[in-house]
Amino acid sequence: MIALGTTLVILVLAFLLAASISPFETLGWWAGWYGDRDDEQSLEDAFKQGGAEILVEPSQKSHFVVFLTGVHSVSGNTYAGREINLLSHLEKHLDDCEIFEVFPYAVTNRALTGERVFGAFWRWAYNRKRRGQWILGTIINMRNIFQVGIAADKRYGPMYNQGSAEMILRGLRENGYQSGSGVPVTLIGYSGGGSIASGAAPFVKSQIQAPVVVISLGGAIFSHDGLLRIDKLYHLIGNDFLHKFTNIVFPMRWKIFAYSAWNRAMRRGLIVLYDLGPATHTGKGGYLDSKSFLDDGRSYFQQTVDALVTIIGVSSQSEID
Amino acid sequence: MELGLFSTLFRAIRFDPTVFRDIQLATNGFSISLIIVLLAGLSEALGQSVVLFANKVKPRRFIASLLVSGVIFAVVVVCWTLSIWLINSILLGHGDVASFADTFRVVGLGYSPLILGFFILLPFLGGPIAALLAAWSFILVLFGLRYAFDFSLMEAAYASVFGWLLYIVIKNTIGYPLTAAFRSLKRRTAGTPLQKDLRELFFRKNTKS
Repeated sequence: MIALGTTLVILVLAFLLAASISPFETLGWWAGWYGDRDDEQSLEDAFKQGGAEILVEPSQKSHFVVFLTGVHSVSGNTYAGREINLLSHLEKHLDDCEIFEVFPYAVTNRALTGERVFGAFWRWAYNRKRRGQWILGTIINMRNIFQVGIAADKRYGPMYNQGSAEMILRGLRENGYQSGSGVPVTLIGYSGGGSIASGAAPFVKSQIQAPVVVISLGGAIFSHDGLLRIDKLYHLIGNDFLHKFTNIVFPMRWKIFAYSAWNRAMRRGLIVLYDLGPATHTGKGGYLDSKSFLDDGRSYFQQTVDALVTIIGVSSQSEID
Repeated sequence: MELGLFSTLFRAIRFDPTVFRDIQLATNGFSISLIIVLLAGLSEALGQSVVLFANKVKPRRFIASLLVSGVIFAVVVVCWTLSIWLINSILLGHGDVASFADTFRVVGLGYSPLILGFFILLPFLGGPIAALLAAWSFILVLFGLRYAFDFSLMEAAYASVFGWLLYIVIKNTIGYPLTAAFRSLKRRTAGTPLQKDLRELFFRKNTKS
């Protein structure tokens, strides 16, 4: 019994310690201690340098879609079968859109499995996870959830969200986005990716001066002033535990705080709640499950694809209008 | 009698009343309290270090800033102890029971919870944790005064609350030059003006939105 108690205390302390040191990557990057950022770099530099360093043919596409993966991810290219399936369906339905991915859980733009002090550990954890060792998957998830917490924290959020915005801006340039073109951009964030997309979006918009829409697929959206500066946030939710949980743990989403950014954005119609019926957050019965079906015969996966295609279509159309 | 640092810490944070009596008798009681205060100051400075990062302080200056903050923290604790001792001696008439050094042993030990100050770094929960640790320390000082000197609860409350108020008054009047000197020392150690208002820092200097 004592051994169990001691183990629990050690686990809790290890968890708290890991969570406490998690902001250092963002803080050190911001302060210019490491990473590719110099002291005076700004968002504008990130947007322009991307174009200057890499010669990319201007894209003729009429809409850019950036996908920010869920917390299970270790790099900028999702390996999850359901997400790969989602992206290929979006590419099929949205042939006039340039679609690319960004790894949202590191402002240094380095994959967990890339050149890092603990890169070898994350590569090992990732390989084990793919072989079905859930505990290592949980460690990867926790590491990325801490990053979502950093984005939601008032102290770290502005740094983290500017870092995420820099990555997105660099990605836009590398994929042929033309500054001043007015081409709309949609950020699709799944789970934690939705939270980070909503934080980065106002910074992205300030640079590209074009419509920026965020689609959160079950994201943990926190209340922040940036919500009032983006064109629209579509919050897609079904029977989602994360949505219910964040409704409780994010006090600024409580209705009694009527003047919080979240509640003001809701009143102004900047946040649109989009119902995905009985679909849950992930796994069997989740938003991306193609083996669970609605009464109308569509799979949950198809329902999600339809919603995304409809919203992106509406966003493009409103720009044309 | 000599006390061990870690066992003393654990006993204090668990509100063990005997530890506040033991620290009065221990030969190393004063130095244990001083070490706890310095560690608490260092840990709290690390917990609040977002200001240093946000102002882009360089690594060496960052370490120096933490050390300076730890020492300044200890000076602040000494000043608060002085205020409590003055209240004790002048208003409550307990100067014979609790000398300044005895009072410091209790107040220093009362800062044990702030050894966990680096947890203020925790994303999203840092604010509540900072408040919790501050309240925990304050109550522990009050608890310590009560058991170390056999004060009644009201006497302990008077000593700590009015001691704190007196400290605030001194800090903003005759102590102002010292406060200004601390601010200047922090700025010079960091090598850059320290903007503590992070909203001001991020949204006026670094964005164009």
